[in-house]
Amino acid sequence: MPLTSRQRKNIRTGLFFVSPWLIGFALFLVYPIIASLYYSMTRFVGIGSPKWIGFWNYSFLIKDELFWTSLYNIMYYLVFAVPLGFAVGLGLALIMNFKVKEKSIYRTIIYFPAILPMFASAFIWLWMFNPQLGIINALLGYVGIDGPGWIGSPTWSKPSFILLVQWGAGGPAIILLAALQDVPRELYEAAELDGAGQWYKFRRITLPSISPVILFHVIMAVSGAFQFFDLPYIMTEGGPANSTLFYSLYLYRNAFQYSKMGYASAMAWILFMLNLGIAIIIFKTSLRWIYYRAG
Amino acid sequence: MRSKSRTKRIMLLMSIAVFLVSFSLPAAFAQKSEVLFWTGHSGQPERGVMDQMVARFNELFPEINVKKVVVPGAETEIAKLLTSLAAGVGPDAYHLDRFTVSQRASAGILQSLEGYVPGIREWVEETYLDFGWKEVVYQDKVWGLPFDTDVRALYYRKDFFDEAGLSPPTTIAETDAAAEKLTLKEAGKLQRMGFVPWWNQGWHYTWGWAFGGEFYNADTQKITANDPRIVESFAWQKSYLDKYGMKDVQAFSSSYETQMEVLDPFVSGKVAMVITGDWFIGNMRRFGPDVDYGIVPIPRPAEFKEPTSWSGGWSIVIPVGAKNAEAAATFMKWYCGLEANQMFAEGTFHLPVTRVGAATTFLREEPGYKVFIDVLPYSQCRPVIPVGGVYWDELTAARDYVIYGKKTAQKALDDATAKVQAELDRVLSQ
Repeated sequence: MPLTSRQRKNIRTGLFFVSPWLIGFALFLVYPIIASLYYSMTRFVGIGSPKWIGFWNYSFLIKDELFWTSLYNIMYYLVFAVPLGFAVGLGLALIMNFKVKEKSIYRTIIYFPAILPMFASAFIWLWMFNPQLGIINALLGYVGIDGPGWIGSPTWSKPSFILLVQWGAGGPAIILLAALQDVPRELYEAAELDGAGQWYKFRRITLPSISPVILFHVIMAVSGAFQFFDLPYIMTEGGPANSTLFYSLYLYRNAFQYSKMGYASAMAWILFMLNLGIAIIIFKTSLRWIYYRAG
Repeated sequence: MRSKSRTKRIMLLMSIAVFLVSFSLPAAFAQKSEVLFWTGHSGQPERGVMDQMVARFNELFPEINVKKVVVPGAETEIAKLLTSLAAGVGPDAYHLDRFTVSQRASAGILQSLEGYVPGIREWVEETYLDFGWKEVVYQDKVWGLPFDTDVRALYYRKDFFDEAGLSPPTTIAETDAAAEKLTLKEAGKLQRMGFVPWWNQGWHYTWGWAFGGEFYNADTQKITANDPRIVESFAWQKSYLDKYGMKDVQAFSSSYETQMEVLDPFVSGKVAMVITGDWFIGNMRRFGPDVDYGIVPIPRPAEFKEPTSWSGGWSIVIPVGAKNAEAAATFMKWYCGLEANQMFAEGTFHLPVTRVGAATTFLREEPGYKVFIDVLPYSQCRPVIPVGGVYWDELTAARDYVIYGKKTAQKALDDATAKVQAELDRVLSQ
């Protein structure tokens, strides 16, 4: 059906109004993404003209010990930080959902760390984790535990970061809380009439009802975890013994310290493919556990 | 009515005239050529002294106006410069860590100075200390000018040494013995360590050279990190963890190593000896004025009689795409010259890198500096290779692998050698 002149005009006006976004998207997202694919096949220092070298960067990466170290580090982080982050976020959301008078105070307290600047909290945690002077080991000492070296120990450095990032769980908790409050009351009431217990209600009503939000959370958390950068950059610079050299940190080092922009672009594309692959797997499996309420 | 509107019109015309004149006047006088100078030095007293130096230059050279801007950036971190160069909005002069000059030059980020200053090659060799000019010459061209320098030695706490009846060590064996005597353990925890070799400036280069090792063979273009002497120096550092307990030293290290100012482990008495540089005298004056300490050259195995040390420092370079490279070169030549060297030394106590400056500096008379200035002629610079940053990071990682027991010294250094050699070959083959 041909468009009327009014419809055409509407489309033109519409396009005009979204054009700032379209232009920005094309210029600052689409173009850099495509350019980085090209750069990943070149030797490029960041300025001047790139030199085409085909898949050389990729084949060199496979032989690069630090590439594998950084990949291992980020997978280790992801495998523990994402599930733990979800558990803590959901736990906090459930607590915030209690109908008590002081709930706004609790919500503020729980959300507060999420709005602290990363830089400031990094320094606070450096002190808390200090093996001999820090509060964590002091508290552990009171109950007779000889605390570990935390971020100064190659064995404990990754677990330290995994624990540390839970401090920011208030962010996802707010989203999960919103989902919790959307669960229809009548379902709980009906279940109670049928004699369902707390666990059963949580398992059969709460979880399925918030499953679309869980999917959103998991996808975002995975892609966030892959890009884990600022805290190790500030706190450990990848040490000790490269135990916190996470993928993005090594990528950054190659790009801006070693001027190997092409190599770094290749790393970025591998990361992107990996992230995409995992996202697809999560999406496919989610069909089995996700539940969309009709309407 | 009429006269009123006329007044209005005249007022309007006049304000337009004032407006135009105020914009065109500076333009009329703008025969000055502007040099944009970026530096990452944001701390005091360096920042203030550098402002004075730039002001002095602008006074001496009225035809040039240098504008100094503090930008984010550190030793090997030049993300701001790189992105600005890519966008075509880079500076005319940049403050770059000297040991990375060859790396940045080979990456095509810098301009060589040959075109701007005739006879520059002879001039740098005459003007600067050897380790200084060697670092700015790459593939027979001069890529920057040395700005200042530093040098390393061993600081020891006189109070602790007197208490234990010890004299300052000159050999590795003496150092180990003193360290053992000065280490305190209470309730199963290290309260003080006599010495932690890798702290502060106890880098891979420091000990590798002290043990007589060589990191690079310029003739064959081979990385030699697995030189047996360097392997030995790494194994020796590891012996401290074996002796005092891996877990205890780790906990001690990560508790105190990076503390600063009054909490600095040497100032606060957590360690009795530390390798650090001449600049640390300033820290001691500010944060530990009452601490009784002395300075001696870096200890070496007994068979070596000559002192050892190494020097770094900064340089000024001209990046590609500089809009006013000619004037920038004039600025650099003054800013890295004798007068500026002296101003910077007086204001900040950084060592001058010009030959005359180092020979005549007032710092010779300053307590503590004598050792450093005496060691300066023996000082070395890091290998002048296009992969200096990678080499540094790989050596640091190798040392960590060794001291944390992840790899043997031989294996760690073999791996580092192979990796850096591959990087070097890649760059040289271009």
